[in-house]
Amino acid sequence: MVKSGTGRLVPAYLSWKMHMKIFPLFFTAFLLVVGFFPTAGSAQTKTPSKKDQNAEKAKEHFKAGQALFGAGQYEKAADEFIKAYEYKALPAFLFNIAVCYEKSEQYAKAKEYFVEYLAREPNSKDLQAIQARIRLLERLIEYKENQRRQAEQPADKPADKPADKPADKPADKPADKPVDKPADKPADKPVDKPADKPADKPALEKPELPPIQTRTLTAISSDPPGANLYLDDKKNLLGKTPFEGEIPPGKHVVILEMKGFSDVKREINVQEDRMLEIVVSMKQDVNMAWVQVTSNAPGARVYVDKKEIGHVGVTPYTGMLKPGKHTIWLVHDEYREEKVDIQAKAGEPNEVHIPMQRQPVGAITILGKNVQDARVKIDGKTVCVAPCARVKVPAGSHRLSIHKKDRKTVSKKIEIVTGEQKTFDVTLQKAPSRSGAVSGYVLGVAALAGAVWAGGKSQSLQDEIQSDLDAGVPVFSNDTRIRDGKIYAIAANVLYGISALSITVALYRTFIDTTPDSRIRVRETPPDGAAVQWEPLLFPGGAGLGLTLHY
Amino acid sequence: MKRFLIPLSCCLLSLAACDWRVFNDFERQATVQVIEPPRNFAGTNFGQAVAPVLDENGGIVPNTFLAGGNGTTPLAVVTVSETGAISRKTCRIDAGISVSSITPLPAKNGRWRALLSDGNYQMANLVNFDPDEDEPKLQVEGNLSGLAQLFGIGTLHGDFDGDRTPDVAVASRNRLYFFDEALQTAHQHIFDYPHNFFVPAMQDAGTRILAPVVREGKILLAIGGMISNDTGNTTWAVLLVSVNPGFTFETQVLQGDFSNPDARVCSLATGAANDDANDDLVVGICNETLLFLAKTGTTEWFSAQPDRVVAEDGKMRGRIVALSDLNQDGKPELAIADPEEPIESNRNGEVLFYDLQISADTPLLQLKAPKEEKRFGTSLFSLKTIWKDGRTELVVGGANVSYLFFLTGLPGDDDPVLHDPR
Repeated sequence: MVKSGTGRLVPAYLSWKMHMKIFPLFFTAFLLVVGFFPTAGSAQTKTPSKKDQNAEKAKEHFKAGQALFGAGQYEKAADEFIKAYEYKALPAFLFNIAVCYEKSEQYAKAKEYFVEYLAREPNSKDLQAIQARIRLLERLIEYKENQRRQAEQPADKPADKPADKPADKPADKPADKPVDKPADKPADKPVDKPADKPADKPALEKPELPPIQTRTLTAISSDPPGANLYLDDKKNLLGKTPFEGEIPPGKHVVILEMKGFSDVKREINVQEDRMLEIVVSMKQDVNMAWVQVTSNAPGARVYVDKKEIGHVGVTPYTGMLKPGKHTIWLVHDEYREEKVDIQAKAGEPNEVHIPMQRQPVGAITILGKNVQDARVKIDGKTVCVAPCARVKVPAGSHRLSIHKKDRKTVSKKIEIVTGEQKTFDVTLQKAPSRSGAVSGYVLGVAALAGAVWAGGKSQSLQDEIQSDLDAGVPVFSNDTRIRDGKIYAIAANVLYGISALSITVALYRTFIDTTPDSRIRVRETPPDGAAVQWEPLLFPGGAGLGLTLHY
Repeated sequence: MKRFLIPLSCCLLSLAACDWRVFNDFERQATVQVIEPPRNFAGTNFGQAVAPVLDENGGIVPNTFLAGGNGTTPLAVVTVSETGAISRKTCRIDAGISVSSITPLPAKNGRWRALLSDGNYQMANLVNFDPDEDEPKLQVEGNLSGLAQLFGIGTLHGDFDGDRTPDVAVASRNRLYFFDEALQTAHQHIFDYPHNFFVPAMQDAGTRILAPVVREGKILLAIGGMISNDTGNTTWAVLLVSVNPGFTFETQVLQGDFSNPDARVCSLATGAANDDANDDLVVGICNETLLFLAKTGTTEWFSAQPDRVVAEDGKMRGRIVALSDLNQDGKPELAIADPEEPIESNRNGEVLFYDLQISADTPLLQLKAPKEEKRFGTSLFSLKTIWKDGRTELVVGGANVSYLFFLTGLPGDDDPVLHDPR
């Protein structure tokens, strides 16, 4: 680590090219210093206590820097981030330093730190945004220089202009060109490939910089390093350890996975003004089998053993499995599903490459009456919510079905041809109300119960009278049991009739539907050539008339 | 589906249907047919008086009886068909009368005849009607009224004096009148009761206080009433009267002990209770029934003391009595009805049967009142039927209906199920 003449800290491992561009004079000194001072990378070989101390110091300065930044004291904040960087050379500190200088309108410094940041993080996901920012900073620097020159010019101009013009021009131009240009260009455009505005042209407008904030910082390292680091689940790979970067504030779970080691899960709480540093010691797992699944189709969903529990990750996938036989499925919308059985062995690398064949697809569009919010299913699997357009469907025969609450479901066998787009006009009719049927069943069952009861009473009276007759007990012709038994029998018959009728009607209403069915029609597209067609459109929250151009 | 559902519902209906017609069968098979007043019977107490119908030879017309009550059209003809069905016809009469007793007379010219006593015991009407009419109109052949107190409280038809011409006997409070069949007063004969014998009022309708007693081919008349002694005490008494040619009379009085004051005859029944050819006498004295067996070879027709007494403490075992061979064993059973159970007994009348061959007081059978009946047993009548060689069935009067008991279930009676004559 060296301190440059401008007061900047330069990490020992900055690329040679960058150093040559920015600090050519110090390069030799840098090499010498490297031999005497421990670098950030070699700091890992220090005693743990020293390392911890440095990390603590870095955290303190990071926290102070964030606080000062929040208070608008950008220059002081930059100093704090520089100190933090001295203790722990994390690229995010460089980013924050650059932001602080940008906020304090020290655009040259800001640009240099952004350049250094990109040198340290060439694969940063913000690469393009930062490069664009650097260009804006250059223009700002240029703009400021022009402003300064213009401020100085008024004193010289009246005297010089008439005299200089004829004499200077021929003399100046040849002289300027060889001197200025070679010297300017490398300095002016350290990053940009396309030439920006000519340097000698005055910037008429001050470039506007988009808003920017300092970054939180999370550093996760593992012992041994090189573990895959996932955020929250194994579908979101952050990178490999050691990881130093930004994780959105809030509670998260980080998963570290490494071949031959057990997975480690850690809960973390990322706060905006705190630097978080986590060191994870991985434990070797000889009982589990490390499995890597790759395919020619990146992003294919990986299912292990049971498809119904959902996919465990996407290709390329690595994970630990119990030793033994496993079934792996790879599913990708544009590829044919693949299924492979593997024998995972503990302590051995189980690398499986499953080639997938690209699946020819066509597309469907669903439009029509009352289809709003209807679920569109292909072969029983929901593919979109209507109305939907150009939904990719594998070529071949499928069963298209449209489902919507209170509407009659409709299905149709469709044939999808590779590359072809088919539009289906769907009319969903109201599903028949079942309340009538339910009432029928209720009435039918109630009447049946009443009939059974009345029938039972009638039968018991019948038995009673018969037993009296059999026993010779006088039975009077006006015996109330005879009258009651007759009434019960007739009531039972009436109730049986009501029950049978009600249940029949209910069954009829349940199984026989007289209302029109929902339907799916294939909308014909002009076979050849171009055609313009007006068609009604339904979309969430409204409807309209669409102009469709077929060609 | 439609084709399937309709047969399904039909099947459900046919499978589940209850056959109410079985109760119609029960109604026909009922061992007791309830005979309600005909629809146009304008009166009350239907069945308080019942009597058979006689054909032109004086024989009983089977399966048929007359039932009387109070009101403007108080007489009905009841016919029991061979299927057990009951048909009733109301007889129309111009003048409203009540019928407290009916005495059948032999039919004449195809018209059935009967002597009807009115409820006030002031009048007796000899009527006839055409049984083939849907609503037979009563024609009054003869009419007697106002001759004596309680005139018509008992009536009888028969050849009492042995002159081979039928006579009509009409009892009143203190005397007995004899008329020819045309009820001509010009040919009447009067028998005055002994001075201390009388027939009291307040007899129940349907009770019989004048009964024929056949003895050695001759008809005696038995009159139930009361007798008093010199001190004015009264007790029950039965006056037996034999009418000799020329309407001379012989009598015998059976009476109770004066220590049983106010006892009276509520009902009389006669018939052959034993194997001899003479009728025996059953005397219901309201709270008990006395059986007097006919004596032979003596001047007394009956012993002064009853041969059997049926009684039960606190019960009225002598209000309505009848003798009838209900089980066709050739020996009549004694039937006793008590239509007015004490209110506190919570019963509505009952009919008891006793085997006269057994001296025990335990009844053979007890017929209880049906639920709705309030006065079961207001009358007892043995209906001659043509079933099973002319077997008799029992008709029991109620408050406003009659109950025809088939196969009473007495010992020796046919099995109601196996041998239902219908």
